[in-house]
Amino acid sequence: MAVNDILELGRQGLTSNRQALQTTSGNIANANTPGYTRRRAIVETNNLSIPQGANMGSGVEVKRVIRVHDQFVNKQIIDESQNFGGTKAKAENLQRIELVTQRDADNVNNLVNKFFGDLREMSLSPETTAIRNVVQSSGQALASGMKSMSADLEGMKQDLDYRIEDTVAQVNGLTRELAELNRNIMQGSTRKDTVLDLEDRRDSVMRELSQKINFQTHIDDLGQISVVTGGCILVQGERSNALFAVRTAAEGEKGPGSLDLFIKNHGEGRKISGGITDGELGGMMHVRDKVLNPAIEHLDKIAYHIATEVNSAHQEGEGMDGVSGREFFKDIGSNAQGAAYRFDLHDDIKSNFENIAVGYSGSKSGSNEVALKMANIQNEKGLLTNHLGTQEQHTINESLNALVARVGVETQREGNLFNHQKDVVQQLENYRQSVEGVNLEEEAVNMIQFQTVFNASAKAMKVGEELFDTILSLKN
Amino acid sequence: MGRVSTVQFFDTVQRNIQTAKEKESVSAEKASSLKELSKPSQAPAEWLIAASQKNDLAIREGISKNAGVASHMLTTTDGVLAQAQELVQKIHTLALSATGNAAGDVTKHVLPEVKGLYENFIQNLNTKFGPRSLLGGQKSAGPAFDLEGKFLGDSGKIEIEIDRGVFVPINVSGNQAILGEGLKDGVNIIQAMRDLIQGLETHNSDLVGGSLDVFTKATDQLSISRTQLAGSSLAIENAINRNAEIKIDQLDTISQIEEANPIKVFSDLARDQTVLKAALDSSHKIMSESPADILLKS
Repeated sequence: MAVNDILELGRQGLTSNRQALQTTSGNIANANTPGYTRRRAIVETNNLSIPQGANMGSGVEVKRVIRVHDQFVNKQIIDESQNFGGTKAKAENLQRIELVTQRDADNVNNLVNKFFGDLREMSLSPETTAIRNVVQSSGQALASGMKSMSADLEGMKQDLDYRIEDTVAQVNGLTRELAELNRNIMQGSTRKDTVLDLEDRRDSVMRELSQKINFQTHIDDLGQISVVTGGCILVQGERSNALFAVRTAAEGEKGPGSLDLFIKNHGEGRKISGGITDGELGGMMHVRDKVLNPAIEHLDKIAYHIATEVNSAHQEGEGMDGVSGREFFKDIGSNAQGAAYRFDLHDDIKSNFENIAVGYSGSKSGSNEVALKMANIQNEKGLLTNHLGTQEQHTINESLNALVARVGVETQREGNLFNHQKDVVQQLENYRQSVEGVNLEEEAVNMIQFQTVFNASAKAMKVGEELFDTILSLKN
Repeated sequence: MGRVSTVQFFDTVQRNIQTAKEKESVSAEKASSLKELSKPSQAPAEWLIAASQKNDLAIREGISKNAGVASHMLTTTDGVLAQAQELVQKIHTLALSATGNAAGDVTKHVLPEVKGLYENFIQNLNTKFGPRSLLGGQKSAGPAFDLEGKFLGDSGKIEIEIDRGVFVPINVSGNQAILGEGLKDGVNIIQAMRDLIQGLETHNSDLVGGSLDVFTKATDQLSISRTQLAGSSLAIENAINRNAEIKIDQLDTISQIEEANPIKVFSDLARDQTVLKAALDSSHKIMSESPADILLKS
């Protein structure tokens, strides 16, 4: 080994440890950066640069800097995050829906009790004209309560559609970015540029996307990621296909005017709502179609039942003017759809409470059969509604409670699933962090280690320089 | 436990504090409301039971209130019929005293008294409870009888709900109680009184004597109507009592389902506050000087 080689080895030691220190500094700087994967400098011996001195001492070089990355756990996180996003959207939206439904149903229950209670009181005092006024008011209040609950449920559906539109925009933003990252990573790899930051970003985007929508991925030989959802390609190489939402007619469990999801492919839109089963989009559509729509349908049935039964009884009696056949509530139509929103007092009753029939005969002040019959509708189990998953005959109050309980069951189930799924994703994320995350203690030790070797390399160069000086001094 | 990244370390601290804070918040909410169950999703089946009991309670309260009023109405009607019985007996006694002496002095004294009692009898029959003429049947707005004793009402029944889906009549029509219509061997009490008056006025001993048998039957006839009223009263009293018992059970059930045990709630709150404080203290200690600080200082 020539003295010159000592200087060269020292130089390589200085360079490689400086690069390793640079990597460590980068790790420390990014310790808190979301999605950052710690880097490691791969240091190898460098025999080739000093061929004649191979057995006397080797050089060193930083071959490359790698991401400490676990592909398997990332794949698991992406898979589980889809489920997590779905249960999160379901649990959060259901909690809001439960609050509103409970509050509104409490109100409607009270109004039902008030209305039928007033009918009972009217049956006790049919001679008192003023009690008809009270019944008119409580009937009007019940109609307002029904309308208000129906509007709240429809409003929550609208709100979910707005959120779906917003999430679709987010998904499109992420898929566009993913396609761009695919292109940049491929170009960078071809130019042998460093693409580690781009790969970090692509992993982050994938994790973010997985909370929004369910999909499968495929990595091709060039390292480009394809994303497929509901049998349609969202991202392939450098190209992304945008999702878009359109209000369409009722179909299956989807109500009329709710959003359906389509994907743009070669200029054409293809419906993919059925394939979106998870992620926030799948979760929100589930809540809208499988919880809110049945709740609206359930409330409509209750309104339809009250209107038709009360009207049928009321038509048998006479108002104070001796006229029979009047309806108490407005004609609700031949089917229940939208009944809660249409539920209202009949104009005849609204305009004059003396038109309310208390008995079969308007001229007999003590006739109270109609009031009794109408009041007794509250006791009858005449409503076939869903009760915690099974169809049962209910009273009006039972049916209202069953509506709330059904939302409660869904909220409870999705809340439990959300907590479970949160733990699963948290554990996976912990594991990913434990592999990929920066540990400052570790980096501090590395820094000391690299600094020590850097200093030693400098010392070796110093020794080499002294050797040179010694040799040169021999000539003198 | 393998490698722990710095972010993971701080995340764990955050999570520990967050979890302790959430638990403390839940306990604090329970302590402030003393409610164990406030949302259906906490226990849907139990919530459904409590909600159903609350509705039933509200409905029964309305029914019981009405039944209470009806009970007073029945008591008043019974009072009217008892008074009518008393008046019939008095007239019967006077008629007996006048029997066989229709032309004598007794008649002079008996006739005005009978007439007065007859007027009392009609007034009594027209007794009202609020706007309702008690014996007028469903035609209850006006008086049940005019001064000539003509029945102005009808035989319509008025029923009310005394328990959920259970109905009882709360009236007896004057048609039945006084005129005897619809009854086997029913007698027209008013007609008998008018015959007596006419007999006394015209000194017709047949008319006076003929009324005696009617007055004897009249007492029984009024008793039949009072018995019917008593049947309804009893049914109402039973229903009110039953509803009161049900109410106690329902309130107990609702309380058991919804209300929190104060001792448990406050001990849970104290525990959760301690846990939160401990989480904050330990986190502070952990974060105050990390091993990295020690290494980097050296």
